[in-house]
Amino acid sequence: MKENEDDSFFVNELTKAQAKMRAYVAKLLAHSSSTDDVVQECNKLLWVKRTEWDPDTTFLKWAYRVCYFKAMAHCRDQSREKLVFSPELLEMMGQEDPDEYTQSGREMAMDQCLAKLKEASRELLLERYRKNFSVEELASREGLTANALSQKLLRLRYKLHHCIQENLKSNPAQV
Amino acid sequence: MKPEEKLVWKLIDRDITREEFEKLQESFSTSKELRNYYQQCIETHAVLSNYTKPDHSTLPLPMPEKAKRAKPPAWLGWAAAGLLFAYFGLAPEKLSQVRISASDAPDWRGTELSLGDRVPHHLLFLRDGNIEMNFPSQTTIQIEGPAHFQIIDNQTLEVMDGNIEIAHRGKPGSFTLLTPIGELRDLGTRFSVNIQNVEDKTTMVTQVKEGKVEFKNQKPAQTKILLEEEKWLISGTHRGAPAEFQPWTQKQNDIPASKNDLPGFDEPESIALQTPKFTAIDVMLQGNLKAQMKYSMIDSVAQAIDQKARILVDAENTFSGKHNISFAEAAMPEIEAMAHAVVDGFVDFSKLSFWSTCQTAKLSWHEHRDKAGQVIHRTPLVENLKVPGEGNRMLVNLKQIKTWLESVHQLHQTKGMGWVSSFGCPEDGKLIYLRRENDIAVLSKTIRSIQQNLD
Repeated sequence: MKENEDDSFFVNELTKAQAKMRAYVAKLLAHSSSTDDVVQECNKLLWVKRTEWDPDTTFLKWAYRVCYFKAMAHCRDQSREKLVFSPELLEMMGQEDPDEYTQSGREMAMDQCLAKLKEASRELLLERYRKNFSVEELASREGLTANALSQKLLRLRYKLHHCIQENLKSNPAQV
Repeated sequence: MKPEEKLVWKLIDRDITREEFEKLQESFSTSKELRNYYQQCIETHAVLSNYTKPDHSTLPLPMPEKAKRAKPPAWLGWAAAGLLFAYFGLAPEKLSQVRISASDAPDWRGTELSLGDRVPHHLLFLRDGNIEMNFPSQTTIQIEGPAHFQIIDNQTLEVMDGNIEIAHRGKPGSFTLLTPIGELRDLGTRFSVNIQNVEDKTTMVTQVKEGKVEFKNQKPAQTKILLEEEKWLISGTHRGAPAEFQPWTQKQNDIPASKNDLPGFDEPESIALQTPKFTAIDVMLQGNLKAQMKYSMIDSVAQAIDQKARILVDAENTFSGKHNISFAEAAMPEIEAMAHAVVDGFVDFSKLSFWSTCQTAKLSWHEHRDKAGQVIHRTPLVENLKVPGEGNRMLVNLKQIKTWLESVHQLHQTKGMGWVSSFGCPEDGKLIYLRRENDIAVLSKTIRSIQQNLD
């Protein structure tokens, strides 16, 4: 019974940590499409090693270390991958954990920041992220070249991200 | 925006050159601030990617007609692909609660099942032999090959063709047999069904041995209760078409209810000859052992392809087309795999004869009668068809695969070269495009060649 309770608590922690773990692994893998596979490998390893985790310590800290070694191993094995950080940089970035803002905190901040964008800009950005339309299709609709639209989306995203970070800083409750 | 920050977003989009990446690495090495920025951007990107709340929803802006053929959400493609992969046995599949409880020399094609196995939900082909399955609804089914069937759920079995014997001891009405022309609901009974498909018509001899059975189809709504000891020949074209009922008599047709009902060696030859077990091709190849062996191999390959193609056809028929995604787009990996397997497999399909890939003739019978008019002897004759039928569906399926592949190719042209590349890389996409173009050309040539092989 005790074991079941411990497992249940562990699963709960592991589930909560998924978004942050993914962001951490994505950073180390230069946002590679293998990110989800590596995160899955991390999950498996964390489960195997679950008895090694001391519940009195922060779960994420422990999870990041496991993710770091998995990401290192992945980069080492990826001879065909062109965009791989150097081992030195990987080590440097591996030691820097993501900030403590939760995904839901970031979502709340995004809600508020999206509301500040002009309606057309907001829809344009979200449509691009929903991937319902290609850049070429959106550009055609907006009467822009694909390159000009990409620049516009880049600026919108930059603006949104800046707003989110400001919002998070001014609302510590979102940690 | 600083140039390094711009490069960060380019990296996140995987739209960064090698030189830019190296430059960014250098900047990362020296700037903790930039590394933090990179981490935060990745998190913002993740939240944006999963952002589904319609809080700021406005009506979607109008798109030009052409633009409606849009790229699907990535998850949807994977979900559809996962579903189709499951059909192809490339991913774990959920098994039903139905188990194989007995078998007698079963000869499976595709998925093979052994005693005690749980039966999967995909289409199964029992080429020969007998099997028995137990359903949780307290229904025992015996199937005699050749038969195509599929477990729909724990109380529904769909049978495309074959001999089936059903004994239902559960709650009346809790088991349903789906057939090509309607459904048979077991009202606490034992009954047998022989289903055969000839050209575009399905015939079904149903014999109620105990209790009663309800036959239903949808359009027009038709219901008929079949009573104990009744034997009916039910025929029709599909579930949406009216079915015809005739009391079954031995003289009426060649269709045996099951092998158990077939006349034995001690019965008159005239009756035994009413149950032909060969086709026009068997007659055409009579005496030519080499040709017979060749054709049996072609037939096996045709069945293997047909089994896979029918899965895709079924998937296409039930495909909802939500999220502006076409079937060709959702099933692209399966379509390309199937086409490539044909083009680059171990069989040179272009050498096949036209007659071996479809039905060019049918069997008819010349009857010899005695003075009283009774048939005493029948001689099989091969009659050429003016319009070839589908036969083993080899040619039909090759054409279908080509059509699907062309749809994918058309989409690729519309979406641009980077569309199929996981990184949106036009070079990768171009390679895939060229390979597909080659596959289409080879498939077209193969089909033309078959159609010209009129030996």
